[in-house]
Amino acid sequence: MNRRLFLKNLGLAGATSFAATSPWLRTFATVEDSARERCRLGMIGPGSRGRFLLSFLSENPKCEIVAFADIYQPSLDEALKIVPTAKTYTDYHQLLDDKSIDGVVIATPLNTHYQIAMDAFDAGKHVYCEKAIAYTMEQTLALYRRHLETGKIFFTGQQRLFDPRYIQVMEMVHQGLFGEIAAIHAYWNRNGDWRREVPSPELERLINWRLYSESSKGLMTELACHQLQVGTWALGKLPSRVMGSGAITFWKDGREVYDNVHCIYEFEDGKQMTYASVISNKFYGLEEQILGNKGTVEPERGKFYFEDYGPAPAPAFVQMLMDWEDKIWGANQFAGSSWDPEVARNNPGEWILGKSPEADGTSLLTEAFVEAVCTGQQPPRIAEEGYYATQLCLIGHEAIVQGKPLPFPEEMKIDYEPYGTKGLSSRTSP
Amino acid sequence: MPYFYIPTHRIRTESLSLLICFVIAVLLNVYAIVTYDAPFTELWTSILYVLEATFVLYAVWIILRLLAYLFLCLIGRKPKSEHKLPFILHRHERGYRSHHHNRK
Repeated sequence: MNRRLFLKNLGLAGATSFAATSPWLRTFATVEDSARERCRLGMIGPGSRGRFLLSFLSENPKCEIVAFADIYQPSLDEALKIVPTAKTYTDYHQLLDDKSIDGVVIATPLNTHYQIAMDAFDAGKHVYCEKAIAYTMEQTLALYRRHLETGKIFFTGQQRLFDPRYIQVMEMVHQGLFGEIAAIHAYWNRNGDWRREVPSPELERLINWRLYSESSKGLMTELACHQLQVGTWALGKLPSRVMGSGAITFWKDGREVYDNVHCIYEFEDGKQMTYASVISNKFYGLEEQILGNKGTVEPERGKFYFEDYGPAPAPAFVQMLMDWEDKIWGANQFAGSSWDPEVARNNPGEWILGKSPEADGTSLLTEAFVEAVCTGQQPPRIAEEGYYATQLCLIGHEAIVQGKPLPFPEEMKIDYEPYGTKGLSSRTSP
Repeated sequence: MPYFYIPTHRIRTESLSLLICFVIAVLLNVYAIVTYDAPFTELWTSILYVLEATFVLYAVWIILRLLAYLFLCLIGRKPKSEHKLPFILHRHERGYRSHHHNRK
């Protein structure tokens, strides 16, 4: 989906209409002015995710992919099939030494993000880093601070920020159409071992890095990172406490990360966000259920549902007569409403965008990054959203490991309010 | 051959009774609309329920008067004309007598 279709889907004359809910969309306001500008990007880690990003970047006329860096030659070979003219390096430092490169896209294993991104900032490059952006909370904070110090563009792989479904429905959530949001149930279920084929045993930890604790924190950093950000986006605040539990319950194949995690994120006003991920059952798939007293949102499905759906209530006159009847003859105390199982209502809901979802926001996210690199303007709050998404998944993982509730550390809080007045102004790189 | 005669005052009385029942039913509907926070369009969309309730109230009123009539008969007191049931022919009523006298 390109920007024009995106704006059309949102029914907007301009993306600035969503400034309050999704201020990072301002990045598209400069598209016409920068029509003749181009940027040169390098990609570090053109594996499966990297090549997915590459499929969009290579089609972007404002962007030229000039180099790839990877320690795994098959990944470089596959990337060259998409962009045959690009240079290849087996050491990312060589790519960073290329002064003609404006920015880098980092899609390497989690444990390498921090060092590569720090080196990229130090080399004067703009950075797009896949989520989660770092392996520890301290690294995440250091990375965010380096972004501020250098003034370089910093994007994270939170594609839902640019997904029209989410943008549209968050506007509705913040307008109060679904009433007061009391809880969010986020989950991501799969039925698979999450393994990639390994050509030789010594490459097991390199290719299946998601399964080993030295390089990944498993479901929390690879999946939850996306969905926890949706929760804070909807509620407009950060949780104050996290508790969780996790285990390897099914895929006992030598992996070191959990295949079954459940977390509760508690907010100061008592609101709750739960996160669950199981990879031995896929029936419910993935979703972030936003539960308001007037309605429910399921953005992954692309739908919302109002509570008052169902047969129209009886006319008031009939209701009154029925109530009188109950008072005179008495309601059946043995089979009253308290005994009725509250099974989910067969509510077809309504499409958020008027039709079934077609794509996520990845193409627009990459387009926004290219635009930001061309103009040198960091879109408001996009780095901060990525920062807190990573911190929330990392503290959730830590709560699971420690087996006790953990408060969100004060020292990890940045000068940013999700939907307050801070952080709204756009910063311009020097 | 049966002969029915409904005196004018009886028609007036019964019409008034029916009207009062209708007004009561309408007022009940207004009360229900306010109580159940329903739209006031139900004033006419529920008119069939209101008419139904009107006739139920009227039937109840007839039954009450029938019971009163029977009770007065049982204790040997002659009911006053306004306590008599509607649509029941009474020999002593003027129209009936005059009609039969004329035929004789």
